[in-house]
Amino acid sequence: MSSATVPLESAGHEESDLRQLGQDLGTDQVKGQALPGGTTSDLSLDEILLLHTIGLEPAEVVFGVGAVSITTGAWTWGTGPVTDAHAAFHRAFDEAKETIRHSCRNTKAVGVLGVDVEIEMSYHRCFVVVTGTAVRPIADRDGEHSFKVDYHNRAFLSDLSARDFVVLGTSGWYPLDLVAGVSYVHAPRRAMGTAIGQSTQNVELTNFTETLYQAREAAMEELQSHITTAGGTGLVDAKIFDRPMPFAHHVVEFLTYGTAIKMLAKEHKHPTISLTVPLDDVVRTFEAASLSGEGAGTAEGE
Amino acid sequence: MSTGTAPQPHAFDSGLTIPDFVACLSMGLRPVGLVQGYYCGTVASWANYSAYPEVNYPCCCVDTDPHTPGWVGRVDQLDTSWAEAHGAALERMLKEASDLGAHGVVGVKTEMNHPTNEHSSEVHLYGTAVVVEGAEAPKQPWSTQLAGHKLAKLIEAGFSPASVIYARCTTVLVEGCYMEYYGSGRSGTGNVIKPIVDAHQMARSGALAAVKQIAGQASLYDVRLHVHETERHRTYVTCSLLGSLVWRARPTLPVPAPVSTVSLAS
Repeated sequence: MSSATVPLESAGHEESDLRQLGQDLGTDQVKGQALPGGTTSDLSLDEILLLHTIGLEPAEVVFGVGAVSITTGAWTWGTGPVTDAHAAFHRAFDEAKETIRHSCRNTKAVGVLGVDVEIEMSYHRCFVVVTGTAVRPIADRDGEHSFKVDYHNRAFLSDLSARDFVVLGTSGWYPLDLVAGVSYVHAPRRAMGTAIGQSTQNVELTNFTETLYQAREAAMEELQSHITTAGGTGLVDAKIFDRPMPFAHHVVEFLTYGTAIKMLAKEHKHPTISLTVPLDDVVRTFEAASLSGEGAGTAEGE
Repeated sequence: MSTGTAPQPHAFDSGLTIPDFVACLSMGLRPVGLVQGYYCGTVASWANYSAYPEVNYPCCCVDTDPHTPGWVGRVDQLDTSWAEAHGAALERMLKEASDLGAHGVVGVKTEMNHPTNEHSSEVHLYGTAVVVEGAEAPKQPWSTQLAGHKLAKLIEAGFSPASVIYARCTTVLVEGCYMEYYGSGRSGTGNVIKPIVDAHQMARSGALAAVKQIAGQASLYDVRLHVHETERHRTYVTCSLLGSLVWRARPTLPVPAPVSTVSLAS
């Protein structure tokens, strides 16, 4: 059988197949036969093959950058939310998303997968970079696409891996947009007497706990709002970060982002899953202490 | 300059892991030696300052202080130096493979660092040269970061290895009164800080453009993109790309749907 017609078997290679594939590396047949469509992708080969199973292929590494100023004095101690930081984050996040979508349109892709989100909040600026691989449908010989989802010319953005995207798609769901909710809230000052009194006790800092809850509620509410605005019915793989700001410890940040999804099939399709039992047990190793009779041979990892 | 030759061993040596080694043998790829390419050089001391303004930012002084113009540009000399270093090391590694009669080099690893100071460069590439049993020696060996079953899957998916590749682009951001005004919070909240955006966009676009220039119609998969920012009187943003170029040897074949599995191991 010619290697050109060897199907990709999910069960693994037969030895004869491998030998035939290896023989291809000893010929010059592939050189000079390159087909149009050079691409770049930060997806692994496994992920690219997975995308092929649903009729998609990588098109280009794309990215978007947003850097937005925050006014002087925005972080000075006060009460309630830090609205300047909140506004700067969303402006930077939207700028980055708009740029990556623009690059995605230029490659005629339907969306961007595996988006890596980098966020840096400093005293005077908010900096957001999103990087991922734009993916496009593969046309067959008749020019038909097996990937049928219509995104109405609005590229989807998702931080899901290709594996998660394929599993999600086969279950009838599709990603729409990368959405975020964020909140920066001042923790109220403790009275001097309270602070001195608490320094000798094990007590909860209720001002910080309450601020965290306040920040969390605002951010999650905003996230819900953005999911709906994106046309989604839910969100998966939410990332959550909360911390006091390194340069303004009295301000608590609560940030959450993830991929808004929507079910496009009539109903959720549960994939058929095979159970596997790996037979590669841990190897029992020699234990030097056993020589003295104090211990027995143990398995690695026990 | 003598770059040495790979020893002609009676026994082969290789950097392959056991699964990769076994898969390579099953594919009829016989390891013949661990081949390496080195390049040590200097980066011209003026390279960091060889940039010229590509995007200028207007004066926006709101006080009477004398203003300085801000700009963003590419540091071509720095990138050229590293690209040449990588190219030379790759060529030397392939020469060693060619001397051993190898068809290609699998499992290529790349190490790059400054051996002494920031004005020195060292590139070290190494991988396992393989001979395809029963095939004639090629004119130029191919090279790839992949080995074993990953390499088999690459071929099965319709691709063929071409070469490991490295490309980078460095941009410099010279802060002027524009940055002082917009980047320091004096302008208020919500203004896009264009020099920062441009410096990062230009570095990434430049690295991708450099790859495309080298690659032509080949594709670059499994690319590792690394961006870092350094402060040396000015702000430098460097985007590096490292990966394996592949040829698309035939149109994409339909791939059967994968089987979902759940492992019952702990």
